[in-house]
Amino acid sequence: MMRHIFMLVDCAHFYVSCERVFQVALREKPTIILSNNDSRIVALSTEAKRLSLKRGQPLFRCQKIIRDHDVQVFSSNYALYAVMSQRVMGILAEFCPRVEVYSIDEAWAELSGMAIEDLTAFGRTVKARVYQYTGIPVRVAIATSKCLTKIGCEVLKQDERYGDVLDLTAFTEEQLDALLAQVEVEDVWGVGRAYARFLGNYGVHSAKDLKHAEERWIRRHLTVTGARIQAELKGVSCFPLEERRPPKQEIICAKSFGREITSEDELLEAVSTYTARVAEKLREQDGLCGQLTVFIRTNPFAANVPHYANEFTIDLPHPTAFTPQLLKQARAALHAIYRDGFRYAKAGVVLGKITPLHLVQPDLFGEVDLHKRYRQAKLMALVDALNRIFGRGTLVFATQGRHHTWRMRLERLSQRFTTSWQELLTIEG
Amino acid sequence: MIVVDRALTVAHNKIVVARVGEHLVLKRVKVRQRKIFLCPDPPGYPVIELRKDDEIWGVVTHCIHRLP
Repeated sequence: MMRHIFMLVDCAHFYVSCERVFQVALREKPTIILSNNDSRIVALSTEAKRLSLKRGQPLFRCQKIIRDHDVQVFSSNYALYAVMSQRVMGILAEFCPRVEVYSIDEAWAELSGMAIEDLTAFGRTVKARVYQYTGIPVRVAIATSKCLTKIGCEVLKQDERYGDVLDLTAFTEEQLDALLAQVEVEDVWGVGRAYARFLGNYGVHSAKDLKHAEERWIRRHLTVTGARIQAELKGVSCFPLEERRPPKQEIICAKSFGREITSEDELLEAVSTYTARVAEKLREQDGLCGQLTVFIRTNPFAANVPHYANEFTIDLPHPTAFTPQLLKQARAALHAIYRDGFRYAKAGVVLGKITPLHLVQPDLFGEVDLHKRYRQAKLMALVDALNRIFGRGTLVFATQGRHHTWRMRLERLSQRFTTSWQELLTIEG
Repeated sequence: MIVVDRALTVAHNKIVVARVGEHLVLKRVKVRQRKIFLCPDPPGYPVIELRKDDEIWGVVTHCIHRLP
């Protein structure tokens, strides 16, 4: 059997690093990035962690620490992060032909069969190149299974003594066990909190315990997934590289508003905007959808006001990716559930029953005008291209509205350094 | 407006953007006695020695002027 070798490249506090590339004064300053609507912490620098700030904390709870320690606070600048992520992933692809982009800040590369003599040196080269080209620091872990590379990066994150490149293939069995003993079972990739609690009850606390647990017992209680994780901990690869993600079965756009909405007109603007967005995503993956759901709700935590939440699903007569058609359905769905007298805080649109374009059945009874379809697809391709080249919102449908005063709060957004001519980095003096 | 290429390696006489402490500066690189100096082209600006903690941010490849 061929031995696999995986390299996991993990960008260190990625959102913060992106901001620091262009705002060099943020270096070494405690910095946090907020979630949508500026409500919670989604990312933080090492310095911020030392101030005992944590991911997921609501912003209003941390105001004192922020003031006392001059913590730098930013809204999520996804336009910037997406571009920086693409740059990092592009560099990895230059090194390795087989890459799986796992998330915005993590990717695996399969090194098996690449005849690399010194894996640590290779990892260092990758790290240095990514840093020079992008300014983003990364951690690199190399091992014979994905699960072990995850553990490698976790160890690098927690223990600075290991440096920033860790080649677990060079570890002896004893060294590896000593390392696994330091990792809590909950932090093992694929082991959820529920399984971790269950395992804890049976004395399985660390990754090492899980690795050496009786295989039959694991299979019985943790099913085949548990058995695979255990094998991965033993260095046997069970989760192969997934170079192409399967297309999504559902596409969602749901956002809280920056202020509460009390009229159907404004709600329609929001729902239309989200519909246009999901339709664009649908076309990006060459899909058609057969179902559209709209949901709206008030703020469930607000006291002393009436609450309301509802959703409406429409089955479309023919699968489509044509925005005007979807907008029409979304308007009908919204109208069916909209009630006066409530303060709406969030809305969302979900596209379901998605089929790839090439799998759609030709229509036996000729109800679908193929020529019309073709023109619709061409029109949408043009709209998408214009919005891609000249920026989102260049060409919008009238129901989407223009002013969007309900849009979520992003009060501390940094410049869009990489996607806007007006917001390029400037150097003074 | 200038174009900066981070992928290029810095060399003597190249114009670069460098991070000095918490600031970005635009200077010409001069290598003297194994030390790197950041020198201004126009007179009247300071010469800065690149310290260990500082770094070259990128190499300038183009400069775009607005015509009068």
